[in-house]
Amino acid sequence: MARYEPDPRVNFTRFDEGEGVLLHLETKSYYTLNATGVFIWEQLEAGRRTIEELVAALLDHYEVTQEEAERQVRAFLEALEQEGLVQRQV
Amino acid sequence: MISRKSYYSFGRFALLLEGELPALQQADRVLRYHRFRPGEQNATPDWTLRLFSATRDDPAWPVVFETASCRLLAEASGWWLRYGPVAFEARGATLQGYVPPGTEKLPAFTFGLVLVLSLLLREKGWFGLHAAGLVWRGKGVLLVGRSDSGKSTLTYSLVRRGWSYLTDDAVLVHRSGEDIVAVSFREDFGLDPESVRYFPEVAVCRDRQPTDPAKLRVRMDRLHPGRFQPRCRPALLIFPELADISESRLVPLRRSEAFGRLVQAGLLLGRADDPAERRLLDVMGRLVRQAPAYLLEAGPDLLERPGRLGQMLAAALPESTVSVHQTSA
Repeated sequence: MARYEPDPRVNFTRFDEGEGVLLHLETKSYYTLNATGVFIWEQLEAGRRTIEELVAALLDHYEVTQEEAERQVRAFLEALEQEGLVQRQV
Repeated sequence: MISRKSYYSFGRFALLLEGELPALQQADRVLRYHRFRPGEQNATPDWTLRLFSATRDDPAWPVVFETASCRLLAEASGWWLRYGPVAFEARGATLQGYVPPGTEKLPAFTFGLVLVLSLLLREKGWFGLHAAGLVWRGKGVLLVGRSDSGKSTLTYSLVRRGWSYLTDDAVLVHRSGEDIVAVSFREDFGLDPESVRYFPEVAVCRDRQPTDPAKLRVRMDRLHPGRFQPRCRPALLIFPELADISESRLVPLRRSEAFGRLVQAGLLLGRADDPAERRLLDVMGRLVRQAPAYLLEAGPDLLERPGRLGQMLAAALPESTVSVHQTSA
């Protein structure tokens, strides 16, 4: 089961409006997260590192279908991985 | 060669400068220009900077930050800054500057020394920001942006209309309890010589700015005595951008947008292993939570109707925020 580890070079800043910012300290690339992105990133930081764990957390917190939750988690993790913000470990 | 030893203070920090003339004389000018004041003799310094009339090759350390004009190398025991022919080496609180003979008056020495000061203050949690600072009725305003964003001209036009100022271009921000405080890192303004058109009184300024010889050095203490404030608690963040519009306007920014813009205006080196880097991001995050932020689309009307900018900014200032810190900076 693949695990997604946040890159230690990434800094996360959360704002009250449910928005957050990820900043990669080496590339200095800067990413704005919406409320769902903030929620999933905070789950990763809290130690939920698999797609299954993240989908379960999303279902607990939001009124979404299993399919929609899974689609959102996969899309988000794929984007994070492509940008070097998480590392996928099989 | 003649050697000398001088003490300086900046806020609560003390610097001992020693070494050979003439590099020491130029360093003295740069330090005073950045509000380092003669300090108590024999104070225990936070930093000791020794200047040598010598050339030194860079050590074989990893490059952690590089621009067209400077290069920063670092390893566990310290860092090395190269700026043209000039180099600085830091190990703990001791710094050595290598200034080859004849290079003392080159911009490379001035810029290199300013960057060194910024790096030292950064390690103490005081972070440089490309911003102008103003105070209106006890409330601080920062205008954040690059040198060509109109900060100095807009700031000067407000000072003429009764606002107090910290600086037109260089502040340091740091945590003070739960607040973020901005401190002036340079008092004199640097204005484009063309600005005499709008501000005829600056025609008396003959000197050029040490860090940008294309600009006039405007001695604010002479032209606008009593209006300098060494520090403030920012209550409003403004990001000016020159725009070809007839009616200038303020556009609210989300905190995440303001944070991104602040980080770009700060000294983010891209060193993931540097604890100061995360402190910097913490300070910037607190600053955008403390002060609402706006994009200022600045058209020519702001200079043609000089009262307008002051009205716009005063209206955007939050009502509840007070307190100008009066302790010396």
